[in-house]
Amino acid sequence: MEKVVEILSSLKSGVDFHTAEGIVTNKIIDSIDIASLISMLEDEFDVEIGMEYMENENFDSAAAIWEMIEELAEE
Amino acid sequence: MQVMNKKKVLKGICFVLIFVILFFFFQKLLQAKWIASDSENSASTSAWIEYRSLEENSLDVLFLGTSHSYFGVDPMYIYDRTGITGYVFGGPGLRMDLTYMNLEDALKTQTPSIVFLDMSSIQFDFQQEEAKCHKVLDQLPMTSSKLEYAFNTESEEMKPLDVLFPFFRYHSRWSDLGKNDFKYVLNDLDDTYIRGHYITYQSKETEFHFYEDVDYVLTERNLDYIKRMKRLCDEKGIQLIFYKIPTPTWYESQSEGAKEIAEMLDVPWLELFYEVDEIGLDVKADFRDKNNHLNQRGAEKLSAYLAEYIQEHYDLEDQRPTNKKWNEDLIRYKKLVELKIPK
Amino acid sequence: MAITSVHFLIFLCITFCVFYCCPVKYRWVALLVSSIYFYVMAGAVSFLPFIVLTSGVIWICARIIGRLYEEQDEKLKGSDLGRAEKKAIKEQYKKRAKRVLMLALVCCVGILCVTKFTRYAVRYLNLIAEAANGSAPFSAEWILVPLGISYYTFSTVGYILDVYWKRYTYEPEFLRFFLYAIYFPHIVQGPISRYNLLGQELKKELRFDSRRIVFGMELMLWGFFKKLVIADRLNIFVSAVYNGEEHAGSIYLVAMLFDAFQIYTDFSGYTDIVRGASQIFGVELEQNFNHPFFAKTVPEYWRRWHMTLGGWFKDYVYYPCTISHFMKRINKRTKKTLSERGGRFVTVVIPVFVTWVLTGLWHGTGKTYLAWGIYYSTLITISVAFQPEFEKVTKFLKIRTDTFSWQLFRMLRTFCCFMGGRLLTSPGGLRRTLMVIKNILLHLQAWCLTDGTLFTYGLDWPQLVLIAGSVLLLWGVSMLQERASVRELLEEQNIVFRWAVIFAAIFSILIFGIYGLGYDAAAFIYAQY
Repeated sequence: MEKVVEILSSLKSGVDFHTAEGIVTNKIIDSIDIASLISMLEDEFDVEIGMEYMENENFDSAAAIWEMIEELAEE
Repeated sequence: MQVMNKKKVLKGICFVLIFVILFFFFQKLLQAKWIASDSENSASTSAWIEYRSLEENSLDVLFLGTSHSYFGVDPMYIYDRTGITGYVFGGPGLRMDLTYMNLEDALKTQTPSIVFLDMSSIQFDFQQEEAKCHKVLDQLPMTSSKLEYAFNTESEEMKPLDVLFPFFRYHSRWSDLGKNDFKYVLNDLDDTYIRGHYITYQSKETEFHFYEDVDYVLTERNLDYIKRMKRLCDEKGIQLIFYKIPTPTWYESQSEGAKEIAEMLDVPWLELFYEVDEIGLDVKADFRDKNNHLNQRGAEKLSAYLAEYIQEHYDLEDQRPTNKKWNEDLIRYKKLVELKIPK
Repeated sequence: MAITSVHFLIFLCITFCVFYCCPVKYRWVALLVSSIYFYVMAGAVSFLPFIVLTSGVIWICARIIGRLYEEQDEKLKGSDLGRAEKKAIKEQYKKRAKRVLMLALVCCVGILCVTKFTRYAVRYLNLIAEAANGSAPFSAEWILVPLGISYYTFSTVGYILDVYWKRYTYEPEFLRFFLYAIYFPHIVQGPISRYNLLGQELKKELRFDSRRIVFGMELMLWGFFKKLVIADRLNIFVSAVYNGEEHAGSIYLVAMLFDAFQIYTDFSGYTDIVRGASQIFGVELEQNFNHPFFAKTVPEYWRRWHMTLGGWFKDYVYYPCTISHFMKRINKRTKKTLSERGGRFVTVVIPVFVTWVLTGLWHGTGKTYLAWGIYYSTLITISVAFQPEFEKVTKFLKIRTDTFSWQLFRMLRTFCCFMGGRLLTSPGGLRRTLMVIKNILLHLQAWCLTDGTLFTYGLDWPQLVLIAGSVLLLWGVSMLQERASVRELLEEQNIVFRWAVIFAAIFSILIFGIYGLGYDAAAFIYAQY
């Protein structure tokens, strides 16, 4: 979880990603940030994010991202 | 719930009502106008305004036809000489269908004793330019004949919707609006004493003979509308008379055709083409343009002739001693004519 | 049947009556029938087989994919399998589903490409043949371009991809799906819909709601105003300038400005009309424009302009491209050979270019649209890749970024970028684009704006004053819309004010709209004899 927040912070400074909600729906990070985010997440956690997971709710907060990573790791 | 719905329906009706009022207001404002006081305007929009300002059932004679009529017949001149009240209803190059619609509308407020129909209209078996049609159509109320006309136009540019609601045709005229447009909406136009006539002293020498003849066939449409006019006059007990204003744009075959219709419908037929000398027309001075319209000098001669004809055949009261309105208008009219006489 | 024609309004009235006379359960059928009628009237009967084919293929294939997934879930649920076995089953089904998907995509995108690119290809083949033996042997006249093919292909392809990616399950009824594809408000020019949104909208109970109907009509009015009063009026000027020979640079500058507002009011006006029309039937279509001229950066601009297209490309091209194995391999390699930042740069650039070049080609075929795609890819890449440097520069120059003036500057900058993009496609060919740029730089002739030349392009000064006024109104309304729903605001007002606004809108459109034959004063005044 901390790692996710760290990665997010490196993409966008000035936002507290511990508490931030709706970071995609409210356009705090855009599609280009998401592209970078995915490649960093994949490197960091050694998972593969497929198109099935490319939905707003999976990226809308640090917690949601963490949840998705855990789910992916289980597979 | 019931109350709510009633309220909604009422609101809806109000909305539509306001829309209709505004629509016709803007339509009146935007439509093209041919106002007599705008110098060079013939068969003008004001002719209809004036007609509607007349006292009901105050007309003795109505003259219908094309531009030949409003150039050639001067009702005020006739009134001045005989006390017979008359009115000219003509439009440029009108076919019989539009002439019929003119008559239909005219008879709503007036029941003249005689209707003169100038047969020049039988020449026109094609649709006139759009503007000329609009000139007449825009003044006529929504009637079944207008609907029939709207859905049977032959030209591409005349859309039924534009005929019925000229608003759609004229909407882009907003940047051209002038003083008379607003005066017209407020019914504030002042030239209501001309009786549909067009005064001009322009003149041109004319040759007077038949054109080289053509194969002329009366179209189904024209014949149909002539019959309708006859029927309408019969219903109201009006004497219909066919005549031809003497102008050289006339073929022998057309003259024959007109005579045939007159005989078929049992209507008197006055072919004045042969009566140029009788009327006293001077081909050098009494025509406005080559081979076409009479000018004021010619119109006065023709009107005098017609007045005599009417007096001879029909017994109409001389209104001069009693008709205050017409006498007043006559004074104004005479002033206008005087103004137009070239110095 | 154009959307701004009387016929469309009559069609809408009849559909409205039929629709609300039907029992709620069958109202969607009324929409289906009227949509098919609209499609035939607006296009041709010969277009129908295309849309039936595309939606048919997509529907069947999505159904097969959906069934495969159901089967897979059955198998996974039913037995106690090990992790490896489960994975193998999943892989196996994924492969089968992928085959079906590919079949559908090749078929439908194939039809789209053939209809869109054949004419262009034939033109080039003919040029080659002409150079070789002096005659042009090929003809592409027989190619039909069915109405709305880019739109319905995209909506249906989006659906099958979503089913494939398990975002939602397949639609069991074909006619329901066909209605989604051919639904008349969105068939001609979008918005490109998503099945999980529009499909569900069309499935709900479509009940009579007078408030919503009034809202729909108001939105249509606003759309008509934008389209007929502003866009079509600007179009007179823009097309006179771009279709003419060569003009002064200053005239071109005005044309560029007008062109930007023309395309915006035309397209967003159109969208408002169809969204309003759809609302009358209780069906919400997606928003397509969100005041793009208020955008402060180019990427933001494209999140506000033709949003459903941008969204489509983002979800179905950009992301798949970004997370594809191919991109991952490139990413790894570049990270090794280049720096971390260089690697990231490449991962951003390639999908952006792929997406934007495809977006360009979607708008139109030919070099101009290719150039347009490259133009936007470059702009976006620059803005992303050099963001740190930009920030340094602003800091170095001590620019206060929290001021209104700075925000205004960014908006104007974005607007200019947009005009630059239009400059590639509007003049009609890259050679003409160069000519326009040359004239702006070398023959500005600013006096053309004041010596009356400006009025010779079809718009006299009352018309230009009207344009200025209506653009001002557009700006005011847009500012309001940014804050709140204008229609809700209007609803709260007194009836006199409310109706005054509505009647003003109706009669502005009827009077100032560009439609019909136009009034030729000369022809009317001289209708004398």
